Amino acid sequence: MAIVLLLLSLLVGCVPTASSAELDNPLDVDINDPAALQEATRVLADELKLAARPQTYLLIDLVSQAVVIKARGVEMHRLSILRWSVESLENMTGIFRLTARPPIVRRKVTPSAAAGQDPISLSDMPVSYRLAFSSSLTMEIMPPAQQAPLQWALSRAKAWWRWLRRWFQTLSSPNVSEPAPHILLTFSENEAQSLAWSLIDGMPLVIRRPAER
Amino acid sequence: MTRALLLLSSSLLGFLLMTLTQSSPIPMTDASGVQPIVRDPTALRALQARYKSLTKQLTQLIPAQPYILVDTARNHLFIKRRDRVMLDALASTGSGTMLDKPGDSNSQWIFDTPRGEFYVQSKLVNPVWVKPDWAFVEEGLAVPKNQMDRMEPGVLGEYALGFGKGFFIHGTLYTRLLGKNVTHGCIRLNDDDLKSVYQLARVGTPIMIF
Repeated sequence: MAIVLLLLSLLVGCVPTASSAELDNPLDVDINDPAALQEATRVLADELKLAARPQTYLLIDLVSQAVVIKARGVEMHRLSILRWSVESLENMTGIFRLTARPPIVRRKVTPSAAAGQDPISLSDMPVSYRLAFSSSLTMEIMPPAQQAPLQWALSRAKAWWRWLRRWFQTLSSPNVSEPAPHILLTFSENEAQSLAWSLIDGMPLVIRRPAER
Repeated sequence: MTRALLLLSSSLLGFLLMTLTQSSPIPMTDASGVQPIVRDPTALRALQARYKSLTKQLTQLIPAQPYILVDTARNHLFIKRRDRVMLDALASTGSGTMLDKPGDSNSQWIFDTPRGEFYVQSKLVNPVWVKPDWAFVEEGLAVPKNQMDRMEPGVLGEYALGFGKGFFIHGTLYTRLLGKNVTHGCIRLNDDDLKSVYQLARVGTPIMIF
């Protein structure tokens, strides 16, 4: 009987749980792909620094096309990125911190009439906004082109203008400094509002970049 | 004329390139800013070992015991153990509204549920609400001088779990408002869910709020 119990307990110990299997490879990287593994290792090392402190942080995973809100290594919420584009990808390493986000329009409570006043809800959050991170990362959040064609065209025109200015600068002076990293993320309306809701001042961010195949 | 044509064509090319690079991997050979891409098998094995080691370290930071997760946007409170959901409860969280402090129009109370990582600091049975100043100001009443006039038993439910700075997970008389952002920052639950949270959480249980 004791042997049966011992065997059973050993078997239970050997069966991997869903979470432990998942955490064997948290970034779901091909460990035989040196470029992908190198990037995943860099991201994990940065994430470890963030997860060691009592705080929430963001992981922008351009490989799995998701923004993940995390704390202590726990995935709290995942937002799907529909499209993305970047400028100066090579400078998107390290930990960035949120320095500017869209203002929240708060409703004022009138004393003695509180019951009739509407609270803030997810639908009050913006769908299109710009975030600034130290050091010098900017992030634009946009709805899909079909939902906001004018805004999309304007954003593309701005990107084109930045590219053109850089091109001229490079022509005029070969020692021109590296451009600041810029990232444009397209989300569904609801996901963009969810992200705006979850942001807090000083929130740290790590970006996982796609590797060369 | 030739220069203008050159400029125009290169600009168009640039625009085309940028449109094409949307959501596409950008080569990062030797451009990671950290170190060059590993090519030899020994270095790859070392990198694999480092990835495993970092993964193990990250896993060790994830709470082993049940923890509380609060989604203030969708007003849900979860109790999870690793990835397993032990409880999914409809909640009410902060309204995000603000109220002027009397005599100082530049200073306000903001009724947000704090975001970030916290811990259960206290567990109370049959808690009594000690009404703060804002509760009187909001109702258009004078703030009492006598502490006993602030006591209001029976409105927080059977249990309350404090997580610092006067914020609690507690019960509510207004169960029809669960699922909405209506509180002054506390997290409200119905009686059954509150009892489960009280039983599953200990002092020191992590509370992650986003």
